[in-house]
Amino acid sequence: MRVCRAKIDLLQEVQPGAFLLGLAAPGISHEARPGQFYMLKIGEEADPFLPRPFSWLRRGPQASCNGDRVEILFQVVGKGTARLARMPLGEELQVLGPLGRGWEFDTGGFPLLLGGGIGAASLISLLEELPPKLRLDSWALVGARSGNQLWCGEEMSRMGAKVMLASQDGLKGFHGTVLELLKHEQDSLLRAGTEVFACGPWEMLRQVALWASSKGLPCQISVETPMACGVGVCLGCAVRLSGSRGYVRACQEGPVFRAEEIEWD
Amino acid sequence: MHDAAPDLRCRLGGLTLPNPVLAASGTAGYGTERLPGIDVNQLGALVTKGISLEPRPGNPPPRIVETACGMLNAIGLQNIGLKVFLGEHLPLLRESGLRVIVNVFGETEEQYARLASCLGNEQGILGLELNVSCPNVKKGGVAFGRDPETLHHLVKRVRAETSMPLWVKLTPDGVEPLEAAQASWEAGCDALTVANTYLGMAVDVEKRRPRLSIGTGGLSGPAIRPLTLYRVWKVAAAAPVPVIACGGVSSGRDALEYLIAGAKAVQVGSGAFGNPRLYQEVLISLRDYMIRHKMATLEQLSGSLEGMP
Ligand SMILES: Cc1cc2nc3c(=O)[nH]c(=O)nc-3n(C[C@H](O)[C@H](O)[C@H](O)COP(=O)(O)OP(=O)(O)OC[C@H]3O[C@@H](n4cnc5c(N)ncnc54)[C@H](O)[C@@H]3O)c2cc1C
Ligand SMILES: Cc1cc2nc3c(=O)[nH]c(=O)nc-3n(C[C@H](O)[C@H](O)[C@H](O)COP(=O)(O)O)c2cc1C
Ligand code: FES
Repeated sequence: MRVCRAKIDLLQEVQPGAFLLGLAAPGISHEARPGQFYMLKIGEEADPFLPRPFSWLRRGPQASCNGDRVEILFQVVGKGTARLARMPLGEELQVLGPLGRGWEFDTGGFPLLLGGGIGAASLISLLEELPPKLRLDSWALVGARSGNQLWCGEEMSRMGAKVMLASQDGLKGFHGTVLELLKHEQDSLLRAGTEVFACGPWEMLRQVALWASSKGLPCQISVETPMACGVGVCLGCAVRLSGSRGYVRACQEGPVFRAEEIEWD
Repeated sequence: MHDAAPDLRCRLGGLTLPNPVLAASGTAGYGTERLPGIDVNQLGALVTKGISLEPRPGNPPPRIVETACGMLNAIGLQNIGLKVFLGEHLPLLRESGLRVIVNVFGETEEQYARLASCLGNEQGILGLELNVSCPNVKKGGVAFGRDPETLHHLVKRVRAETSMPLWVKLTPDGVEPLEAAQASWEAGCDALTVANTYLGMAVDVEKRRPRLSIGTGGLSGPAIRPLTLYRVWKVAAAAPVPVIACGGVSSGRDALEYLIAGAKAVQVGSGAFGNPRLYQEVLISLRDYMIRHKMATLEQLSGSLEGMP
């Protein structure tokens, strides 16, 4: 984990309202594991007050800063992200990270990646780090509200994964949600040793968890909760554990959890 | 150059700390976590997350919401409880040499007294801070801090249990600042922390529901600084014990305002979330300011406000 000032060297709208952000600073990406995240303080002012959590998408590859660089994909949803989208190239941001516990993978299973909306970004770092053979053997189902919001899916396809797209407006791929697509295609997707990795809205994760458990598949999910410190000291990012076992911190014990650890109701 | 370095040592009712920049309770863990970007030993002291006799699970999520220039929290005093703190954290704290003040919380006077008697004789703890001001729990907390008479009784009871430095962290809500302060110093506390968070709320207008799980929360951050500054000035002008300012410090200038208004030390809380280097930055700007104004000791700075009509 590092605290540093990182220079914005890329800011590009890759689909409506979603931007690819490049950050360069010495050492920023060396320790990053797939599924981990960074806290970005947007601007020097007191407003927005808290830093914002974002998963990393990939390291490098630009020559700048000796390759000490990460890319982040973010969706404009409110004050902080709207401000971030307007920042000039060359501006510096205070960055903290990499943080949290990311995806765990051994090379035994066949990855089945399920991404909803911008949440699919965190699965790209996973795909990047998988051994090439496994990457080519992975299935990725990526869904979004609109067919013009499927950049992540197209990116995964370029990376060699077998991708199916779903859009709720039916513009591209399957007409419906990722979950509907999953249920529609499950017979052709499932193999012995399939392991599920999912990131997206809470309701989608809840249903994925139920589905995976009904099929007896190991399943990891990455949750998004509001965060203040990102390093485990404020206890703001609580996630309820199943079986009345209290709370864990999404920023420290997560954001990736085994689906059965979480209380979904 | 070295001769000109100002003396930042901070005297707080029997305690001498190397500098007046402290980490506020609930924003820096138990002192055993790895805080990014800082050497915790550079802090004047760290006030731990509030400890209660039994572990507490805390409130359901969502527990935090950002507001203009601040945040609301409704953590609900989630903590590991006294036994785990003593058994697992205190030995690590002793080893690290970190200066810690333990923030304690009870639902009854008896529980505060038990906490004080168990912690009050332990090596490796510099003092206790009584949290009588948490707005996020059903029982205890702010109820003790709002009624000067109850507060006086509580502080007196705790005082009888320990000779360790005892700070009382006042609530800014629902009580005249001087009344609660006076009730505390007359009961024998060694210092006053002014103040905790302010009760507040936020509403999700689309869902027409509160944004926090328990409806309300405690407001912290730059939004509260002018309010707390007023209380610090008011209490410091009258109190025979030192005042430690806490509320919305996010720069060296903020800390200077508090010290000039009469505080002897400042606690940095939620401001460090967006800027983990804040503690050092505050310290550096204090030092620079004192050099610039030719002040040799902190006493020359503290309470140096002029022109107040
Ligand atoms: C571990 C993690 C990884 C994330 N990765 C990505 C990513 O790769 N790309 C992306 O676009 N978004 C990601 N998010 C969500 C992103 O953090 C929020 O969209 C962002 O904080 C919203 O900020 P805002 O100022 O635009 O919105 P506002 O609504 O103005 O935010 C106000 C406050 O709420 C918090 N907040 C609001 N929504 C969320 C949310 N969904 N999750 C967490 N905090 C929230 C913010 O931190 C802020 O404190 C991630 C969240 C987490 C927890
Ligand atoms: C997430 C969070 C948790 C807190 N927990 C405690 C606590 O356990 N005990 C306590 O006395 N104060 C607690 N506080 C209050 C802070 O110590 C401090 O008084 C308050 O945040 C105002 O300072 P600030 O504006 O610098 O943050 C907490 C504050 C926050 C933001
Ligand atoms: S965000 Fe502070 S504990 Fe997780």
